[in-house]
Amino acid sequence: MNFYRSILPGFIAFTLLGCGQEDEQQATIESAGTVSLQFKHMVGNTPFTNESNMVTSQGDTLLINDLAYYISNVAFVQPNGSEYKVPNSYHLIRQTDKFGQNTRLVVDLQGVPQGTYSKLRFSVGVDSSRNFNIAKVGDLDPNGLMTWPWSIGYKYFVIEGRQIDASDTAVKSLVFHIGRLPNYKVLEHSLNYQVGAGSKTRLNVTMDLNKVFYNPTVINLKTTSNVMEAPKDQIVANNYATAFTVSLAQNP
Amino acid sequence: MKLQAGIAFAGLCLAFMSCGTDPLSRVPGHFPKSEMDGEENLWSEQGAKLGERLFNEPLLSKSNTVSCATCHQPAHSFADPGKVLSSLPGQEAPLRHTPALINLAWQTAFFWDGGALNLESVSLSPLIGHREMAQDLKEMVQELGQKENYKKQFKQVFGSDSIVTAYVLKALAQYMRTIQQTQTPYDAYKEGKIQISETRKKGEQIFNQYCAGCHVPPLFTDFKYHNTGFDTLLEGGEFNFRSGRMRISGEESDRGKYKTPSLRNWRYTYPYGHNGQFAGLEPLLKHYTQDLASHNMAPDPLLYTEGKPGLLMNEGDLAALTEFLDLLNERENEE
Repeated sequence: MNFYRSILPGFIAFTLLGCGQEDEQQATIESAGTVSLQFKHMVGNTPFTNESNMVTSQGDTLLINDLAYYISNVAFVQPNGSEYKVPNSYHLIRQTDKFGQNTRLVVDLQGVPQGTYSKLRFSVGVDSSRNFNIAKVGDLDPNGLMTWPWSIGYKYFVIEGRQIDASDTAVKSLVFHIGRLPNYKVLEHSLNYQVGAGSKTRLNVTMDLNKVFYNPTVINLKTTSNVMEAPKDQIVANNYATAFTVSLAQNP
Repeated sequence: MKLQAGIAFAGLCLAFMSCGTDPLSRVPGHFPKSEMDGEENLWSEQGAKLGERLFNEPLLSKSNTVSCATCHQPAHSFADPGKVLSSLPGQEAPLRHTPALINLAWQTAFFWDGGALNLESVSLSPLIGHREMAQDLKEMVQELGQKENYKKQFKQVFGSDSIVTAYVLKALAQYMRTIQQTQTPYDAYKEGKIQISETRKKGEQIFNQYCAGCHVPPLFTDFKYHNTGFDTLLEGGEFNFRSGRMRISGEESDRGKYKTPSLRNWRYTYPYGHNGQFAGLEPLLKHYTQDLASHNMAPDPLLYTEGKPGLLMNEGDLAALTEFLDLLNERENEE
């Protein structure tokens, strides 16, 4: 009986505390707005498309039919350093013509407290708390195509396509499947933007494929066209960490 | 207040009812501690029973003909004895030998290279792998959901009317934690229940001198990754190792390293090695005692004897060692 006496106050306190948090959350939502992240994929100054060949800055001609990656743990940072971390923030961005897969280039994040912000932080990949976990959180889904058949964990960044070489009639595939915790990259971008209650702020997140392939390390795609394993995957990950820029499209 | 007390009491009753008999209660005292619960996956007898049924369920594969037990045979210590690679009809062969499932409740990393870190997620890989069960998980839960008795069993264990992949994986994990090989003659000897011969005592000394560095008793593994030079044989005698653990860690120093397998129930888990390249104990011991010496190089510092490569035992030592190792086989598995 003593046991029940000892756990009951805890149980009641937990219930009451839970109600209090709900009220607080409700208040926050009423004074919050939406930030829309609008992803754009470029090859230098040219918009990327799945529909036609692209020529990179190093002269490689590629046709990419699937480009996909996880953006996670998005946080909005204010000039005083306080920040709003988006809960369960795992978002699959995909530009594809692969049958059965959907292109998704916009992520609307609601419940962002109104105010002035000076930074946007997000990660490419999936952190250790979720990478080996089977729960469906955000866009994480063990049923999805972003998992490995030979290891547990998510593919963070995927490029699938082929190289076009007039002098070589054989079709050469281009496959980058990058995962593993060392390739989880936290990126922070400085820019000023406002979030208003009940309104939408639009931020452009641009990724340049030239940088994925060549910055800072130039990858010779003729000899390195298939990257799935360590240690070469880290070269691609260090490159994609430099490929994103963020700009303000529209304040509320 | 009465309502909350009632809820708390009902919650406790449910917790006690669902726990059942903890399989760890029969584990000998010389074993390290372990847990039956996983992350967000409390163990229950009913959950383990559901997991056992799923483990033997061909509906888990795309072709509806292959179950986990096809390659991890319960009657053979969850190994696929005699098969170098567990090839399935119409599919490419897997790249590595089927590992026996030994005392999984004590393990913190799975597969030959440690590519999975918990039992809840470990089944994903064989389920979707095109060289293994090649399953579409959406199709799997749909097919299971068409069976009324499965729906009932899942509801009983997880309290939900729908079957989702996470429940399948959790139930499998609960069952796999009950796969325990803890009742060998070695354990009886360590508990003082039986005496062993002088030859076996000598074999134990040899084992402690040459083998226990990696195959640490009582689980007979150190849960670490070592390069034992096995790939050497496949590469025509050249030291040109495959990626092994490096595929996961990204460290060049992990090239050619694989997880130390437990030696428990070794009689049932042949052939040996991550590629299943040793048909029996004799060629495996020959690799350690003769082949490494003939290459005049051993890739792991633990494989040297007095500064020379190889585990340099004489025939008498080997005979005593083999006698000792026989204590690690559970007798009820004998055919």
